[in-house]
Amino acid sequence: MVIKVENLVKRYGELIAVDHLSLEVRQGEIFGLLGPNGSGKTTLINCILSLLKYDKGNISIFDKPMAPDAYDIKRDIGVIMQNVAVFNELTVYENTDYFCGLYIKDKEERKKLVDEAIGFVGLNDFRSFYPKKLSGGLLRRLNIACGIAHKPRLIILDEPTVAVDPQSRNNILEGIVRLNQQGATIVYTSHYMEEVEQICSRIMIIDKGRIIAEGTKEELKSMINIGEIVSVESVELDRTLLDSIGQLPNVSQVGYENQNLTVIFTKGRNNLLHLMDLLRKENLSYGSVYSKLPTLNDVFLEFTGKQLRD
Amino acid sequence: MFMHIFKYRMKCFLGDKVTLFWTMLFPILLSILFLMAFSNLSNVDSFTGARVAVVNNDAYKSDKMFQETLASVTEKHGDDAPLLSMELVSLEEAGTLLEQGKVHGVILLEPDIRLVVNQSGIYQSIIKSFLDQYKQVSASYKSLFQTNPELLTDGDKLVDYSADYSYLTEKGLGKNKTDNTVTYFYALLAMASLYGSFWGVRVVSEVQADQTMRGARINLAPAHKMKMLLAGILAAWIIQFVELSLLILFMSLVLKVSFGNQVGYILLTCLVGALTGVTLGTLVGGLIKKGEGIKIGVLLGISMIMSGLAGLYFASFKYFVTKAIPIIAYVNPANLITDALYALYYYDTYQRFALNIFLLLAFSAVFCMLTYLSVRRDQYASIPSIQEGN
Repeated sequence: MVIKVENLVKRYGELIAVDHLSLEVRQGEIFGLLGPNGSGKTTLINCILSLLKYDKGNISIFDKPMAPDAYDIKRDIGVIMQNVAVFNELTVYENTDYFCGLYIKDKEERKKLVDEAIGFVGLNDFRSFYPKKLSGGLLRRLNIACGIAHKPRLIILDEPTVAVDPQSRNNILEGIVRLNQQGATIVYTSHYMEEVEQICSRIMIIDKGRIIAEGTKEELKSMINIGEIVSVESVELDRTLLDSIGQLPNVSQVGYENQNLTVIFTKGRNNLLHLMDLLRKENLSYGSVYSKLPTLNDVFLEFTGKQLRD
Repeated sequence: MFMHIFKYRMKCFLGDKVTLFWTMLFPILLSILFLMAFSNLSNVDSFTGARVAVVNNDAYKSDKMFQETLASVTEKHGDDAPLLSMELVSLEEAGTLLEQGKVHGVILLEPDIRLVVNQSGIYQSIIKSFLDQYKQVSASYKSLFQTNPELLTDGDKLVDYSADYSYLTEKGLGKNKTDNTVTYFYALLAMASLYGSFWGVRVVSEVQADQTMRGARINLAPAHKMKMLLAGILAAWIIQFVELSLLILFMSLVLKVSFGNQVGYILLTCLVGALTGVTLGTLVGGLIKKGEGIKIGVLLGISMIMSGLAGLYFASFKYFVTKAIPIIAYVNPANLITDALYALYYYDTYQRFALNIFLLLAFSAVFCMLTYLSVRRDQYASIPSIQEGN
């Protein structure tokens, strides 16, 4: 097991930030920690890394107890925090070299690793740039280079794409997948469900320091009743027709606002066909029709009664 | 790894233009302002000799002894200004010169010596003291000649007797001439030393996970925190020492502020002063769990109060504090730095200088120890820097 957390409790005074939480991260996976802002993701990560004192529980990394002075464990961990942690007075190369040098003593080896890391995040053309000259996205890439240059076996990324442009975001996500393919185990925290869905092999959803659900994205979606959500635009409906739609097979919820119809179906077959048949029979004209499968937001919504981004 | 950390700490500090301004350029600018403000003060303080008009009447012409004595005190001896500068004039001219303020007093022999002044002051007092001494000496001679008439014929004995007598001489406490303005420049140097604390704050912030994001990242690395701290202190110390040396060089070569000739001891004072400043910063940085701005504000206040007590605003304040509350003078690093330079400048012995340096080193050791105790922990109850992205 790469990370094992048992019954972790962390309190800030009266507030319980992490509430009897247990988790396991397996070798070679991309483990997603999904939750809204303030759900306890960063606190959990800081406890795992022994930065924060915690009230109760056990944490082990690489099957050894984690402690502030567990340098042999720390040597194999790379951390990318949600805020950029670099020195403004050092160039891209110097920043990467400085942080890599805290892990790797050999100069030649370090030079090779630093070159590789800068190339990996696509900052070769910016090696002699100072952080203030970099855009937000490039700065995030530098932040990642500083965290991974020493080739860690475990990489923890805490919301690395906050306030990043779409191009850099894709670059970062692709990079994470490549790091995983090269053998690193990844822990990825985010409140962006699309990112977690896109790259994570296993996901844990947390809220108020407690586990809401855990599993692969397919497993998580199978835990809820929603099977399909159908939206029909620019359609004229009256109360009778809305009642008729509500009586179609597998319909759990009907919404109608500004001539836009939203029908949520439970799991079942031919849901869309049934709805289209009804509209055709009533000889109604309509605009675009969309059908989508449930998202992790729907999972979160069903378990907590609130949106993931609330 | 120590050298790796040290190298990059140096680079970071040398690239920190804001702190470089406050620790190096600001004291230099302030020293220029001091020079401009004190240039007149210095001129007022320098002694140029009292100006007298001597009435060239018959009594004066016949008094050879007084003429010779006057000649001896109006001669220039080396770099020192003569005690008196004299004009031999008629009685009318003497009155005019006195009225116009061109002389401080008029000496008139009728035949007893009289001094005429139209106001009181230091120069009038000097002339009066000179004349009183002359009268006393001449009376002694007259008495001697009456009781020992052979002296009139034995010139050698008379010379020997008179050679021991000197009129009003300026006597300093030590090897250099008194210059009140140097106290201000020394206090400025002490202030600059304490500004080294700004580097100290940075040193601590960069290794504390609850202070900066970089501190958090460094805490996650397999590097011992004390190693990081010592490398930072060493880098800050060297930079602060070089800055203080440049400040002294500037004051000495450009502003012509006198520091005496003992370069080695002056540099030692800078070295120890820089260490005290930096470690004061690490202590405040470690003890106050607030943002860097608040810490700098606190240190600025401490530095200005300590420098003020060491004579930065009023030179006499330093002496007042030393006399009235000596303990304050001994626990004030700024005063110890000022006093070390002062002792080097004025005294021939090194006891006072050594005491000041010893106390500064002791303070640095205490600051270091307390810093260690305040930052040694490895885990934190909360890490606001990570949430706030400092």
